[in-house]
Amino acid sequence: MFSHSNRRTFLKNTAAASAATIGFGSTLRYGLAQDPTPEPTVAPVSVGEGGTEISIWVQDFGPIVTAYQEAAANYVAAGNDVKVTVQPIAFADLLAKVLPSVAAGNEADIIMGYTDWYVATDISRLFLNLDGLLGTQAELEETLFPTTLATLDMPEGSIYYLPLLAGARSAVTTYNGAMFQQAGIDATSLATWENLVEAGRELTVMEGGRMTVAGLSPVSAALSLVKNWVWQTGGEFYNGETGEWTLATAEGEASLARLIDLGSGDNPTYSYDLLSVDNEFDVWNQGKVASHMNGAWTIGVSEEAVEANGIPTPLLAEATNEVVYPEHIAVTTLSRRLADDDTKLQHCVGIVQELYKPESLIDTTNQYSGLLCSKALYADPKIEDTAFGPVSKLLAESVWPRAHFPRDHVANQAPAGVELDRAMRGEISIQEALSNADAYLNDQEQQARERIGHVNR
Amino acid sequence: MAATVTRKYQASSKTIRPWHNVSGMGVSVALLLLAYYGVIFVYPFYRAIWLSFHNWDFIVDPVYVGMRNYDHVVRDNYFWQAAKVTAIFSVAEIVIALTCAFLIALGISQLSSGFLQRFYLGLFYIPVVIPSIVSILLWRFLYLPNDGVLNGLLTRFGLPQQPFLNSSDQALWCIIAMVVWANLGGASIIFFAGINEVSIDLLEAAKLDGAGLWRQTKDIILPLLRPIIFYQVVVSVIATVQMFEQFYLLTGPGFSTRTLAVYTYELGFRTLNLGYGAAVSIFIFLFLLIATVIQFQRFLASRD
Repeated sequence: MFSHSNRRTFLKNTAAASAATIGFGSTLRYGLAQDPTPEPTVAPVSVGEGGTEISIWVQDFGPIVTAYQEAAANYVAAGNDVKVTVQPIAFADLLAKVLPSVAAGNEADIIMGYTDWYVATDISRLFLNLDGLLGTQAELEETLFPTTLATLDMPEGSIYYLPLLAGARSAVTTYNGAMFQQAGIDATSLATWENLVEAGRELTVMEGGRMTVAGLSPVSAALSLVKNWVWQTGGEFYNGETGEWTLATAEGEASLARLIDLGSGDNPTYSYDLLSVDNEFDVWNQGKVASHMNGAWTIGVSEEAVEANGIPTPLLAEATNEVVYPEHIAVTTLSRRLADDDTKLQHCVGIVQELYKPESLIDTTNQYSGLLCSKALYADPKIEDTAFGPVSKLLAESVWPRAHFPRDHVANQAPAGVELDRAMRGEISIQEALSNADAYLNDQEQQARERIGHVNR
Repeated sequence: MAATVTRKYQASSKTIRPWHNVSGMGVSVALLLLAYYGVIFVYPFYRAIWLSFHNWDFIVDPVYVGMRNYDHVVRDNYFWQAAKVTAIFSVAEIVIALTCAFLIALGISQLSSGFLQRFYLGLFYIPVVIPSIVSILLWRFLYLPNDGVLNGLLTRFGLPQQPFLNSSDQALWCIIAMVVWANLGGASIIFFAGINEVSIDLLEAAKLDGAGLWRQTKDIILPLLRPIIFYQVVVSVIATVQMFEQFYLLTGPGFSTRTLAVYTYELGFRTLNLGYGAAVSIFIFLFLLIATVIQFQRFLASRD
């Protein structure tokens, strides 16, 4: 039945057709779609030709890569005999890579990561103790916002990471400047969460019974918002002594009910027909979301047409505690192996010091719109002249002083967030969602404590 | 006499040294393969079993927990949710893909032109050679709830727009559609090759007896293709249970598209519960082993 077939011709034809299809696919991908999937890991960049080789792993996110590369370049330009290689790695890959690499002893000398990657293990066995290398805690608190130094356990009061920056999740609201301006709403004047909701309702557009513009989307920050609101209304969701999670409280239920009301009440501000956790940023970039809480970093990477801007998310009108939980922070850490090589260690410390100099970080705010952890940076008047300096300063100076961290030990809280999402979709009740979230978080917490041999630190 | 002695000596030496004509090179290659197999499979498998009895996160000293991880798996709602998603996906994908692939192969085999046969086979085979990441991104674009290609088509035909990956009910089926599309070509080629092996004399004889295409397919082609169908099912069960990137990158809401493979990854690399992740992976292994053994038994029984 395939008597006239010629295998070579068949393969050639198939290969040609496939190449054409891939080409077409790539055109669609890059020409039309606006996809937030990280680009593949890019080639490393080396600076200097010196005798001491230093490796740096950073998340493959433009502003962060640039910050580390420039710090390395400045350090080399100062006449230091090093060759520094900065390797950008996609977020998920870096997350999957750090701990196994440390265990295998082949991690980079300097590593950028996030605090929540390290909460479920013993950080003192993961990275180098920075005491005496980059200053005492008191000295660091002079240049960094003190709250950012208290996000993780500090075994025996030692510091194992240097906080760099954060998106701050639900502590910040990113809004579409064009939409707000057109509606005559001044986002900076919104004093309470309820004011923000009213603005969201005003900006929501329904066409033929279907939402075409979401005025306020909380879907990517549901868990973060619930935790913030529990604290703001005088509740507690985590007990540092016992390690018990209790989202299923009156405060927790009221918080989740508030989110559900936003989506399914009389005047909804978001709809799952329009967006979800996974594509909220895509839809935002299409100009179909007026405000969201996916983090301050989104301001700097949004489409120009949305004229993205940010405000500290206003507190609830009924808030009794002026406190916010900005979730994870990007941090710089050093390899423990450096303890055996003093020359290399001194060079690494030099590069990190270069990175955290206010004059270096000011450049970062030309690309990065999130919150930097350096207090000294915002004291420099030149911050007002960079692309995102003013908004970064506004957010950082509002969020960091009232930031609080539970110092829990659950590395992956996403499944708890999914339980809340299910309640927001009407799949399960509020009580069931919160109980499921508690069950998951408690299980993870206890397992982490068992591993760490937890003692309150 | 001397010759007899020599022959006797040779015979007895053959008895005493049964490996005398085994080549040294052969033994070396076999040992090398055994060592390779040991390094890439046996040792990691042993370590996975060992790990499943511990609580470990790469960094701290492993804590021995006995059977707790296995006990936890049995009571873990997330595990059973992932198992359910995996089972639905596996069954649906295999049934739809193999049925469609067989029909395509049958259809193409009926074409008289060799050029058309090659053309259509090539057409269906294209998705197989496209890197999965490209396919996934393409389909993600197609499924966009706003301004997506599929919703654009639905609107054009006056049909209501669909949330696709935004819907807990639709997301898994969206991924099934993509995977079926991606795997159709490979299965079609194998079926097509199998159909080509069916004796034309047999089919001609059936035709003379008045059997149409349906009877020929039901009574001749399908029974003769049983080994191929068996192979396709076994391979597909293993492939679908292990499938990862499609679910990792085309995520649906909640846990609607979280399979056992994704769950294991999350346990290992997101929650740092390597021991528990290992216990889950042992369950997956046992499930695949049992499924494969049952399929083999059924196949052998049907052959007898």
